[in-house]
Amino acid sequence: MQQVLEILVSGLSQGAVYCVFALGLSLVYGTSRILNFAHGSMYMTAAYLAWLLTAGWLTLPVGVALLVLVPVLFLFGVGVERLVIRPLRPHANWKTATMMATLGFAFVLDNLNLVLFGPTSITLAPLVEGTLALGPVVISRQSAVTLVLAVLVVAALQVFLTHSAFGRAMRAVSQDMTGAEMVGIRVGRVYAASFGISAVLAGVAAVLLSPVYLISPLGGWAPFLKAFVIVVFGGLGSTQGVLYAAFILGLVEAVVVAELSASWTMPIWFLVLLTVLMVRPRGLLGSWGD
Amino acid sequence: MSLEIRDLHVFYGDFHVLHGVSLTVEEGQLAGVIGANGHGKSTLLKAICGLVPVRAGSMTYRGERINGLSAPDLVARGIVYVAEVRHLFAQMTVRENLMLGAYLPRARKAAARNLDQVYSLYPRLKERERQLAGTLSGGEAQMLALGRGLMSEAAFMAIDEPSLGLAPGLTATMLDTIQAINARGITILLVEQSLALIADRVHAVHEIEEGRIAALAHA
Ligand SMILES: Nc1ncnc2c1ncn2[C@@H]1O[C@H](COP(=O)(O)OP(=O)(O)OP(=O)(O)O)[C@@H](O)[C@H]1O
Ligand SMILES: [Mg+2]
Repeated sequence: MQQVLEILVSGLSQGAVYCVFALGLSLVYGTSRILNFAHGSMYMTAAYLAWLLTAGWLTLPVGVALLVLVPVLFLFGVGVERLVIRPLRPHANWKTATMMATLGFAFVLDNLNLVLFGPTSITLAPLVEGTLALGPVVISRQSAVTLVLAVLVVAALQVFLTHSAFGRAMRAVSQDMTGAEMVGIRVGRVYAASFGISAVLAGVAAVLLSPVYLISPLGGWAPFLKAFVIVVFGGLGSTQGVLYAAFILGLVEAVVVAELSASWTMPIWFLVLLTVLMVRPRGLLGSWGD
Repeated sequence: MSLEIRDLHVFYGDFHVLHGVSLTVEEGQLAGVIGANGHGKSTLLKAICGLVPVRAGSMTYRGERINGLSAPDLVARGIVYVAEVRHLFAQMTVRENLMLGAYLPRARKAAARNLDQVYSLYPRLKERERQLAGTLSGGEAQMLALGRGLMSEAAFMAIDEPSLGLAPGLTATMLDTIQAINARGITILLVEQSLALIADRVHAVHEIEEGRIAALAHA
């Protein structure tokens, strides 16, 4: 019983961070139909920045570093959209071109990180130390804080998308880009903002996951792959779908780690994914046509 | 004079669609544009509304040059496109679609009044307020497209084939409401395929033939 509860807590908190990270990928795909291959490298870059702020250069508390990173990463994301994506938009084959551009940008970031920080993995301090006893179940305070923080971020994003004027504009763009222009929405701004928000989400995930998964120049590809599976599993572009998929796969992972070993996670995720895609080719809640 | 177009040329890539279209629409007019399939009617409306780029020629609205302005810039000036293929937000409710019509600040200020007007013009939309736009019937979707345009505090509406896919009875009702919108002082450029459909309703009509304005069929 105790072990089941521990698996549950670890699965939920893992699922919640995956959700934060994958929502970034999904949001950008939803609004601009671009699969951002640099999402994992942006996550790693955010992790290195967090390390610089907390240990490498300054000695800020991790929580403060996270607050500092939010505006920085937002502007970084906006900049990436302006400089890497936007110039390719007018081209006829922009879909392939932008996808390749994000892939190229990922390699640029990876190599930059390698040159600046070296090949050795480094670690980020957790937000909080120590353990927490919930009756018979003992969990680390970090995973409790991770769960709460990730759920709050996801909830805040949902509220923003459904109740703010700009959030509604983002949903409008993802449902009908021309329709959005016709009511006066500047779609370019929506694309830029979705990259900015996506970078912030990657940063939040990086700060929450790096104490466990370490920071290394190519370390962003494993979470990117996971986010990609989650987004396809949930249905490309569907935020609801990502929510379900992240928690389901987070729980699957917790069980696999407890019963087999961590290296079985991806094979079993793919098994789950393929099974779902056979029954529902567009993922859990997907409605993507183009 | 509301809209004045001089020698307008539009291309899709190398494909020359509009070959020097000129026409004027007077303030308060309900003007018609007719023409057969593929002759460039939709392209003309999209060019006016900033949805396709103009290669050459000039367009002025209330004396101001509007070539090269984006669709949002034009919506801000009250120039609104109601598309043949509607472009509704399928996974949002009727009400959310209408409120998105009032996205820009100028329209947002007038949203409550415009919503009342839309609901009095199309009571059906009020009944369906909470329904997802993607589940509406063809006629209801057309009402929503027109209603969303009105919510943008339109002064000039370019309406593209509102009869598309509607039963004849419903088409007549729809055209009645377009006349009612015009009677409220909104200038309208209305595209249809057949003259018979709109001859008795419009103040002027222009015929497009292979990307050019043909001899006036009716005035
Ligand atoms: N995005 C596009 N790219 C390339 N060609 C286009 C595009 N849109 C329209 N065309 C072509 O331009 C021509 C004019 O199209 P347009 O949609 O303006 O015609 P229309 O008069 O509105 O026709 P319909 O009555 O069928 O709506 C057609 O030959 C069409 O195939
Ligand atoms: Mg047409």
